[in-house]
Amino acid sequence: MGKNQLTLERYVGYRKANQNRHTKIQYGKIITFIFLTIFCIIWVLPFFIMFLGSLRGHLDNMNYPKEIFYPHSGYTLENYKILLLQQYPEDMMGSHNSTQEYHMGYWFMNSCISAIGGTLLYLLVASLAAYCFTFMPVRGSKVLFGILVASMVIPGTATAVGNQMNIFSWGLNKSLLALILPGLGGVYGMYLIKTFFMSIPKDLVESAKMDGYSNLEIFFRIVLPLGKTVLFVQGLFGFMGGWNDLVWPQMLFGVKDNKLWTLQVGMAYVINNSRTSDLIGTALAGGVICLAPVLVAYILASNKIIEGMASAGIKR
Amino acid sequence: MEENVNLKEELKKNGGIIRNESIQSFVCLKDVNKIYPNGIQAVYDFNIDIKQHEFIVLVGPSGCGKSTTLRMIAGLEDISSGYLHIDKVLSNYIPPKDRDISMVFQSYALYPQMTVYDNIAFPLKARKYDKIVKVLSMQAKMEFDAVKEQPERLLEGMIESLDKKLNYASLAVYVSTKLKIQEITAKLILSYKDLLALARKAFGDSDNLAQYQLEFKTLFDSKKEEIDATLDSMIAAEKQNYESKGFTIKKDGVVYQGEKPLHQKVKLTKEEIRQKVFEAAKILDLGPYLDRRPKELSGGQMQRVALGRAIVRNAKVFLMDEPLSNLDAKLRVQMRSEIVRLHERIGATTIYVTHDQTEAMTMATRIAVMSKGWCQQIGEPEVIYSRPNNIFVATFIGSPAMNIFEGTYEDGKLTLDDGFVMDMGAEFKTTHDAFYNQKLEETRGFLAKNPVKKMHGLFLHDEILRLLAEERNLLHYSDRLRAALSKGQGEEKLVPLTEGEKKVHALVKEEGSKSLDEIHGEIKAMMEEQINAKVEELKAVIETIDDKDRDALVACFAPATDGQKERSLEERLKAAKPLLLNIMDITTKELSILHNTTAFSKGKKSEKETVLFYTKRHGKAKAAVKGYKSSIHVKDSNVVLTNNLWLVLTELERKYEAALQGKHDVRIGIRPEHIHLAREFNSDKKSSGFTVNSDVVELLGSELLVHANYNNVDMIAKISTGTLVKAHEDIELSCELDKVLAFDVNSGDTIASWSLAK
Repeated sequence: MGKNQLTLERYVGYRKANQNRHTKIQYGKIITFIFLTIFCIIWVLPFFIMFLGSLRGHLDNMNYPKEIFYPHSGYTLENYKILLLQQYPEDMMGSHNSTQEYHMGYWFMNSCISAIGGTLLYLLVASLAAYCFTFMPVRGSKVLFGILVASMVIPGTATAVGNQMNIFSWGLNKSLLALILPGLGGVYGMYLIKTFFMSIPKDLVESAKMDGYSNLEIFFRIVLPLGKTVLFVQGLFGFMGGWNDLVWPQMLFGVKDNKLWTLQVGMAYVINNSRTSDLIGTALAGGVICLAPVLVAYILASNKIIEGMASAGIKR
Repeated sequence: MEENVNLKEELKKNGGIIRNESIQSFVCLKDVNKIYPNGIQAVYDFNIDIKQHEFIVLVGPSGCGKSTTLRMIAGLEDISSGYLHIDKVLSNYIPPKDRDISMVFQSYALYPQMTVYDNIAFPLKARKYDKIVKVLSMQAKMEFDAVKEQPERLLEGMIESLDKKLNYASLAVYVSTKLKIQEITAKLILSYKDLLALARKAFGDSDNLAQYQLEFKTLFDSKKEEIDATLDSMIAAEKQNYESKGFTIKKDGVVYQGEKPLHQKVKLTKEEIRQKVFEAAKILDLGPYLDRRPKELSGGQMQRVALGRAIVRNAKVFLMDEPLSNLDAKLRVQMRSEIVRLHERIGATTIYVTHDQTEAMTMATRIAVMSKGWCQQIGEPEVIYSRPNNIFVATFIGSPAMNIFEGTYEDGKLTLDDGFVMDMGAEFKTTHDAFYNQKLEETRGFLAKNPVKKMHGLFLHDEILRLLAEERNLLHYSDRLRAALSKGQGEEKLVPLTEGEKKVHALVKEEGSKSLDEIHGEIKAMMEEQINAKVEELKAVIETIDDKDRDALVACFAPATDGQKERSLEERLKAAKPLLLNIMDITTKELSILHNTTAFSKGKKSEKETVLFYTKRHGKAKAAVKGYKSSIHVKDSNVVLTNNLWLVLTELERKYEAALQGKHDVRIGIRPEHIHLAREFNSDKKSSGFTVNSDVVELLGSELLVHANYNNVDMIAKISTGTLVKAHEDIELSCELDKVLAFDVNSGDTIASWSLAK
């Protein structure tokens, strides 16, 4: 039997040696674990409090944090009822009478339309622009791109008033299009997509051109499928931006018919109205409603997001 | 540039297509130049005529413009000037997709998101082809009649289509492929749910196939008429559709417009695509991989897919851009023969780019050797190998590379540095003389040309300016020296440096009593002599110029006529300069000769070459010019010369004259395979032997590569021998005299009979 042959005895020996090595206490790992756990708790706690708080009745709101898990009048859905159905508990004081009606359904739909629609439209515009900048260089396109990138340093709020005046003068002040249009000129997403497109070998595009495809066909058949991941990432960023945007919709529709409000504008109003102790729960319930779709979207797509973020800007 | 504008107008008139029937070749490149927007010229005057079914290989070291040439033919790069004709059609401005060319890229350019099948089918999906219109449902009916006879096959096809392992897009696609029927027929059959259900049962229970076949047959028989009826109604509808548009339909389903069959540009149907893809896959042995993605393939397989994508379209011309350079050595040899086989089978005109001379030699019917944008030689592999035009081609082709020795030529004899003499015979002597006479004639002809004369004028102009400046300098020097002497201090700072200054120094020192004006006068007289000589020379040169600028130039130096103010020499020179700089009509051919004289000449190889000419940058001539030296911009070919061509040419003339007089330097090239062991080689062309000490000996099967230092050159000899040569051993070698090549040191051209024929 050869010297190097693995006998059962030797194998068992290896295992034992390895086991011994692994039984050593790794303090580094433990510390890391504790540290991460603490931070995890710090981050999750507010959401947890929000969720529990939204389920507490108006009489329990002040008993915090004493009765955080066991409100003495039990868990209730009355906050959601106030927000969604305008059903106030009978024993609540009259502070709510001065408020406008809450149109949670409208707000939710408006947010969905502006965020999803805006994202999809933006992806189309930005990826087409990125395609042109990457694969169809014309004289001056580099300068143009430089100007676009330079415009990223101007904060959005600085141009908001100008945009508002434009939108009003075009008569779009009663249309959800006003929420979508200004976002289409965004540079950041285009920049992100362009960096990804640059990593696509030019040969692919040239080869398709020789095979007789037009630029648009090449865009849809080759470049878009390859750029799926980065589009996904940008899509998520765009959706989050649209969903969380407060300033712009408030500037457009803040004083108008509250059926045009987005969820965020509505929430601002709800929070404004819930400064009394018995209505704090409604603000928390509104937070849960705002958070839910984003959270669901993230959980469904978290794998793809990480993959996309990793591959954006990295050669295939 | 103007030429191109005219061309564009003409193109517009002719709807984008200009045919030139006088062109005999299939692909024709005439005077093709490529200048990149940043001013770098990648290709100079490329000319080639490619016949149909030829396999042309463009070969050269990296950066020589071969890929650029290929991309210009493909249409991926613009052609800066020159003409490209493909199949007699001027293709300069035709977009790549309309040139009917297919290309294999170095990186294969396979679409990673598509399967092999889709990759190969991709080129077929874009194009529209001219086809005779037929009534589809009539064909479907005919096909269905055939299916009716063999329900077993239908059942078999349906069962197989249910097998997920076969991975087909849909059931209908599989059934239609299997039974060679159209997809609409397959869909119609599959729309009968009970037939499908039966097939599904049979799929799950393959043991009782015979029983199911019977069952299927009875069921199918009952459906037959119904399917027939549906098809009939479809035929009727389609016929009516065509007839309402005024077409007639013949029995076989062909639609006629009046007397002629109706043609239509249509995309290929799925079955046609499938057939073509399968055919290509069959040729390239790709059958088992059709449903894989490129990621799951090996390098050789990816290469084959890329080839498949190119051949599937039956394009007019195949372009291949270093397709084998990403493969390992063994696979490369294998794919090389495969590509040659493919070319023989398909017979498509192929242009192949490579930097590997072995590939070029083994694959090509003709080779074009390129260097630094210039095409050096085009010819059959054996011609390129045995009769190279110049030293570049000779050393680039052949492995191991040719041994180049420095040596001298005298009276038909070549002598190496160590005194080894090769007597090349009287014939070589006459060739040699004829060669140099031709070179001399060529150079003198060039010197007699107006642009060169103007450059001569420019050289003199610069000289005169320099002398004038020197005169000013000397006057200033004498003043300062005098002042220093009179003050009695600072003299030591004014040490004379140049010849002129030394003279002035002596003048001032010795005859300190002379007045300032007298000294100045003497200095002026001294310089005047030199300047006048140059001016006279310049006038003489101008006299010989015979183009439209001549009169104006002569006028610049003519004495003032009545009523004109006498002009100073500076003013005259200033007026003459733009006229002298008006340099036109230097052809690129002449430049190419000069390029080679600098690129391949002996000695200062790299340095000289960069000084000869720079190209134009962003419309502005950019060339490093120091002191009194004019930068020369050739207006019609966008070239800026930093060397004065006249100087280069006079130097060349002098050297060629010297070469005809007697002993002169040459470079001697001997291929390793033409060096043999003296004791084993017998031939009447055998040279006398020379002894070397072998450094390294490499055994290559039946051959030995012997490295040895001989005349300060690492010489390689390829010896096929039975006796083994050992390292560090003195061996006596001799070479084949008729295979020895001599190269001119100035131009790098081969001194041989084939060089004269040009």
